[in-house]
Amino acid sequence: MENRTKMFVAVGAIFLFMGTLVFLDLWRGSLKTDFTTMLRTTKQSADSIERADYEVALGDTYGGATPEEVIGLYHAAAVAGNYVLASKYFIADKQPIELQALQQAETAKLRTYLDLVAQPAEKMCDGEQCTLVIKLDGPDYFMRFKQYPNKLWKIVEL
Amino acid sequence: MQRRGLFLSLSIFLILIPVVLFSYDENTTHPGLTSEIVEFYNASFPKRAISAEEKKWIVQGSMDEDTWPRWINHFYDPVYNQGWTAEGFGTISSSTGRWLNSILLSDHPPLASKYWAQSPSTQAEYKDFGGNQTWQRALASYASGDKQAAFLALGHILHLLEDATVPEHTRNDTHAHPLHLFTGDDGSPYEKYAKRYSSKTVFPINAASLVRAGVRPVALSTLTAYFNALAFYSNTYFFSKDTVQTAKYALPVVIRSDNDYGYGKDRDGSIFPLARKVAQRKADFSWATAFVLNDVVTDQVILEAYFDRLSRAAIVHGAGVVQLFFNQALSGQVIEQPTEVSGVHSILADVTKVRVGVIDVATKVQQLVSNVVPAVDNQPQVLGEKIFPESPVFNYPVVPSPLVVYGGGGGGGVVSQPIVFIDASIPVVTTSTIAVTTTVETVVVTSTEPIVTVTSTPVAPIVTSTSPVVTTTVPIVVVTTTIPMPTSTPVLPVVSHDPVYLNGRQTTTLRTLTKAEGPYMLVYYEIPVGMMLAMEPGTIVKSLYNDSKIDIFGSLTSNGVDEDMVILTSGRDKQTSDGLAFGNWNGSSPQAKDWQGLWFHTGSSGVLYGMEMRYAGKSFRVNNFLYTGFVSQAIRVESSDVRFDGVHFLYDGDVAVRLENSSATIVNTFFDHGVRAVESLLTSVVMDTVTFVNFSEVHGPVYLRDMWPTMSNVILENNTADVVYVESALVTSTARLASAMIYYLNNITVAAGATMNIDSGSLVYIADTGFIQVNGTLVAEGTDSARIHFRSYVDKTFWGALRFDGGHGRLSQVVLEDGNYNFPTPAERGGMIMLLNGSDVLIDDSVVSERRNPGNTIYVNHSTLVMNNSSIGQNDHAQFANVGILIDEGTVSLAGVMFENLQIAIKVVSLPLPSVLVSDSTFEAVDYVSDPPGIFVP
Repeated sequence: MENRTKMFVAVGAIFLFMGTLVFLDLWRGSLKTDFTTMLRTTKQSADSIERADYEVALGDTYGGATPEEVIGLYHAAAVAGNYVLASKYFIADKQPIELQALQQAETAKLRTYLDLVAQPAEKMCDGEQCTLVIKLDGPDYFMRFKQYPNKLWKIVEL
Repeated sequence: MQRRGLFLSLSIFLILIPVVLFSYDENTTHPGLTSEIVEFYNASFPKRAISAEEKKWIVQGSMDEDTWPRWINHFYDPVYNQGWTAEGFGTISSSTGRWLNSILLSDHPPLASKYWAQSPSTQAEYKDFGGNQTWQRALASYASGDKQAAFLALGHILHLLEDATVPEHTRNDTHAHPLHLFTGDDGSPYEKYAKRYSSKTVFPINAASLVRAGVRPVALSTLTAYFNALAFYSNTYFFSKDTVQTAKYALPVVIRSDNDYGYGKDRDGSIFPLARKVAQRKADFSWATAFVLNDVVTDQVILEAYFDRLSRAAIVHGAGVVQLFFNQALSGQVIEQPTEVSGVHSILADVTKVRVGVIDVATKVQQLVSNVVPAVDNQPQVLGEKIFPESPVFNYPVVPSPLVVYGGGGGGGVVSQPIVFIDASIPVVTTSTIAVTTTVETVVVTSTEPIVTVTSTPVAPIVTSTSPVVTTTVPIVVVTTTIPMPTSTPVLPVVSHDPVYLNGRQTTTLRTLTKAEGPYMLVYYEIPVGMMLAMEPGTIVKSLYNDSKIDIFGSLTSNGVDEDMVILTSGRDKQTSDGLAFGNWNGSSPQAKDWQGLWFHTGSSGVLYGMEMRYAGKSFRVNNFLYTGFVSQAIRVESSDVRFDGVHFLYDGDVAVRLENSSATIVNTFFDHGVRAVESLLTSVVMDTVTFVNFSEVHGPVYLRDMWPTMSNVILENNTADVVYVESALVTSTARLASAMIYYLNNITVAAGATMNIDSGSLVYIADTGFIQVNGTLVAEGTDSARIHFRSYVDKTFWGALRFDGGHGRLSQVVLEDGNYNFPTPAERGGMIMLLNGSDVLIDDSVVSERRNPGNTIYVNHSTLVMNNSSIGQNDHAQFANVGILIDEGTVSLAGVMFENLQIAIKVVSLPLPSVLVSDSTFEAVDYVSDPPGIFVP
């Protein structure tokens, strides 16, 4: 190849490279502009998901009219060996964890535990949160509850 | 489909963010804290006070900083020198969170707040989301005369500093609040607790109280130093919800614990509750003890201790930042600001600049902030690498005046109070080298020198060990700068004539306050031992400060009459004869806890006739035991004698009258509005013609412990519970429970020789597991139309027993329900009625019905029971072993008794068999009439 040809190829390659960079730059800049718009759109979608979450909670019928009632329902179901039902009285996130714990529990330990949660407890509430406290000789035992939008109480933590 | 998946992921990510990263509420706590910062600054530096309009801009800026999505830059973990890393992100893992973040904001990774605050180029790219509101922007705007923009930006900076006092923000603890229905995670309990404080409420530690305490703003040389100081403090002395005793953070340490709390040690040496101690159920239903901080309902004491300390730190450091701002702004240096853009990035620009993540940003920050003084901390953000202490580079600039910090007030002159350096990034300050051991401990240097100066030559420290305990040698720093003295004279309200202030200690044996001389302004007043303060009819005393009070070591008398009462009230109470003349706190309305009240100390006395006590009860600590928390007690009486006659209490905080080891007579008195009216421990209380209305305490407006009160004509109306709560009281003579009043009793003992009489028609609530122990005599005689009821106070709970122990009882027309919870007595040795050790009890025409199984309804041990025309049993036949009457030696005579829904009607467990006489009795749904069989003929 002649030197002149080589030079043209080299210059062409440089121009092609520069052109590609310019194209990519413009393209990415365009994406970033879209990204700003996307932030706004995504926020609207996120709001929709939050509303959906609310609707799902609204339709959850496993709960009690009071924290005491839901712990009573949990207790009754667990005593009867209906662990699936017992776990449903928990908030959604904790249901599979509780179900697994109940299914794998030693009978004696579970029975002792269920006797404990059936004990009278002191109740403390703040709006949609309540805690039942069972007094023990050492540190107390705290059971936490949350009220869903349908006014039913669910177990957050035992 | 993939785009949809990505979009959904982004949506989930973003939905988590909004509340996740808020900590202090942008509508309440942030403006409130910012307002206190400005007030504290103004009180400390009155020569360059911030105007009302400037304050408004600053507060607005502090609210705007939470504009979506700026809050991803509001974290700063000083131990790992990180911004937000999406840890503790609910059901989404940290790595997922970071991955989403890298997609979403690849050119805008979350910056640590101390960098974000000083990174104009990055903030400029948030044009659509608040734009450049950096420190440099504030300075430049001020220099160019645009004060509104300057103070708005300064407000943004203060917001970031306030966030640095939130442990969740400095321990990378994210919470998924918007998905709380799914996760049950209601976010930071500290955040929720702090929400109650706003610019419209009184902070427990506020500008006024700090000024009175002689506290000065913390003065540091750079904005970065302020971030470091606050972040280290909140990180190393406090837990966040999901970082209690985690491996990631060695500090804080629980230094001791009891059954309720684990305690930590603050940098000033005070002990405070760090976390709640609980019995925790493990996954396999075994048990463990754990420390938690997860519940705003049950963790109030802890959160209060946190907020007191952290809000204080925010205020004293924030005011120092404002002063730093003016120091730098008035130097006149104009800083060129980058152009704001809408998130458009150039690859060419990326190619042409060396961009290594945030290091680039940090370098810019360093360049930009170096215009005034060298940065204390100019280290780049290094993700995941633990650095402790914060940086091996110590660069001590000459600190511009004013230097310090917690000096004292009082009329000019010299600093005589201890000088306290709060900022650990500037290790302090002796005449030779100093070894700083452990973490971020405060170093206290006491000085009585009027002149204090600082000069130094930076010397790199020698780090001799690594986290968490470090020994660092730092250079000599000699102090040589004059500290301007604070002016602590309070700004007084405009008055129509010279007010008389009640301030300081009384110096005359008798001082009389008169109607003519008043209204008086109460600052702080002390009545020493042997001295008396008397208030004539019509005297008005109004508080000047939120924590104004009268300490009584001698005597206080009020001589008001119905037509001319003595009034002690809030400074902003307009319902007094002076109208607005005195103590008008910006014309706002009075409310409970506007001032502290009266404190009767040991050996004092009070005779208060015809007095109105309004709007007192501001919270305070008793004996400075920090771990005891705050109490709100309008009148506190310790080991003293007091008499209230014709007193009207109105809106007096959580507790209107608190009595300890004292003697109190309360007659013709009216308590109106509050949480609890009277709280008494080990005090002889006499009440006659006393009314309680509008109190919110769930156990009623009156709580009396240890001693049985003498009460007559007590009226309770429109309270959350119209009951009188008596707990752990000992009846030593004769007590009467009148039917006109409902009692809520817990663990009452009728001493030998004493008698408790219960009127017919009385309703007696007994607390969960509570009992009435009768060593003397109990007489409860109702009528057919007015029976006496004993029952549990809370539905579905159970009280304990009427426990006769060597005592005597006569129960007639009585209904006992839902007892027999005698923890820890075993069920087989308990009962709803227990006769022990030679007791004798007669029960006629009564119902003894309980639902708690298994157990005995009546338990007889070495005692005598006579029961006629009554019923024993349960409402339903349970599957458990339940017994009507269990006899362990003794004599039982039954006539016309109906047993129902029992497994065994009468059971004997002693030999030889005791005497059991049964006649005209019936057995319904009873499995076994007796055990052993045939011990009597039914």
